[in-house]
Amino acid sequence: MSSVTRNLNVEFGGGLEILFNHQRQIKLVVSAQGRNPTVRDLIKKLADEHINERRELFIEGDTVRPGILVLINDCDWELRDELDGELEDGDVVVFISTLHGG
Amino acid sequence: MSCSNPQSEVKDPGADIPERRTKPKNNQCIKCKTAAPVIQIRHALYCRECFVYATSGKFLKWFLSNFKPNDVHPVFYVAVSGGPSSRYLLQLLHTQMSPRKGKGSFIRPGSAEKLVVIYVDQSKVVPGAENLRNHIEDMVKDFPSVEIIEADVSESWKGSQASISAYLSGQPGQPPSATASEPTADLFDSTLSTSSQESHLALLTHHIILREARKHADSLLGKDSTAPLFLGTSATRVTIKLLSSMSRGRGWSVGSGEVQPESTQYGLNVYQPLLNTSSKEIAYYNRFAIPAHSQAVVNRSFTTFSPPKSSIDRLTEELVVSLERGFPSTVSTVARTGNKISFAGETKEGERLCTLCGWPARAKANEWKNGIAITKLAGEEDESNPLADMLCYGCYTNLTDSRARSHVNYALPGWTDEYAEKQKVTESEMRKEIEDCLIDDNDNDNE
Repeated sequence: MSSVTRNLNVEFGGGLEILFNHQRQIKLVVSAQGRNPTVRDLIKKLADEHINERRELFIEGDTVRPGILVLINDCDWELRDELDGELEDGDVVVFISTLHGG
Repeated sequence: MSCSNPQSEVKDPGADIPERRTKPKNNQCIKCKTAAPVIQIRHALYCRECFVYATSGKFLKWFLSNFKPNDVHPVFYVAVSGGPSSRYLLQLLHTQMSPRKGKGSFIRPGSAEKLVVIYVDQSKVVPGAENLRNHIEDMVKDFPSVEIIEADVSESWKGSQASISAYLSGQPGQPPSATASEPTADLFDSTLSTSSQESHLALLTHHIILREARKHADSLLGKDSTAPLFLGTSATRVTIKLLSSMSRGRGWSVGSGEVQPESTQYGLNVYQPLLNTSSKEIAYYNRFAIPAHSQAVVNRSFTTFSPPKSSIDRLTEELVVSLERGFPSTVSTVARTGNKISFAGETKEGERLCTLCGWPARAKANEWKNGIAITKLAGEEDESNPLADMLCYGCYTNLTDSRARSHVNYALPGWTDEYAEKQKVTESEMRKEIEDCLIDDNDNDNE
């Protein structure tokens, strides 16, 4: 079964960059076996490979914590199947925290 | 055998909240009915253009209900922390500061000649916080006429009188234990809980904003003149504030103006125009309508990216955003309910204002506290604390935080002296109150 990969641009706002070594933007590759990678895969990859500490402040179960908004190509992820939304090459995924002070 | 209590394990408040969202039936923007939607706000879908237009329009509608289109105010005051809500408020006020097209060929003048931004620097008391003045200057550089007032939260004690501070150290008549230059360390002492520190910071910040605006208005417009002051409290924030205030013992004064869209404080007309705008709407608007170089910045608080149980405010925030995710009308419902709460205790005997927060306080906060909390061991007498006669229950509880009860001496900000002074009834006022019952000396002579 072949691996499907996607090159993505990920941005952080509202203070989330603090959790990601103060990086506002990162480029990364997400892959999945025999299917298109989804937002769920992206969140897992970010939590596993890009957060050094306080992982639980970004992820809850397999989704993001409440208070964190997700935009895919400036479209609310709630309109794009949320965790099951499939990602395309070159997609811009934005995570914005609305929590106080970050 | 250990005294284990499996029931006592507290989970995150939002961990098991079931979701009850409805999928939108239509796949078109609710406004233009043609474009594909990109945003869902509660149960309504918007395309990007309509969302920005509708959000600005909501503010404009509110604005025109409070300010006449032809009126030009000498000054607008606005509190800016640099965070998303105040950035959003600045952007909306910007649209009202310059002449603009009205209906037909009517050109509406700018609503104010000048905008005064009040920024309270918290970097000296909040670990990891930075001074954000440079960022705020970037945010306001397009305004036609603007002035920035920067105040330091650690300087709230300037002008503090020894008398009040001495009372607060529990030793009437003795010099205060804290000097005017370093008492912030007491209010933000590590022996106090994070909830108390957060509460103090919010209270100090609020008062500094009001006092700086008052001071500026006095010098610009004349003493006791009134002027509009805008605060960028969002619906999400006011929901959290409402619930956490009540849980911290501030229920008595919650209807006095803190959570209302319009109120009068320090003689200023205080407006909170974002009380029906959620943090989600604000975040999307900022992303879509504000240039990248002047976006909101992170204004760190004591609990920025802390676990939910680190303070009452943080725990309440977690509950509210969790509820909002599953039940998208939670925030607007609670915020609107808060708008309707009004203070009902003005005429009762013993009413007074808290000398620290300035909101109404019930008399004898310590009696209430002794009645509902364990404050002493068996055999000990009730503690008499002069603080209790000056503060509301919420402030009294914060300052007498159990971990710090015997260790911290308190010095309160300078304005507490003014509040205490104002509440002293003068001889002439007392005479006026009882003059109907007095017998005039002349009447006696005539008889």
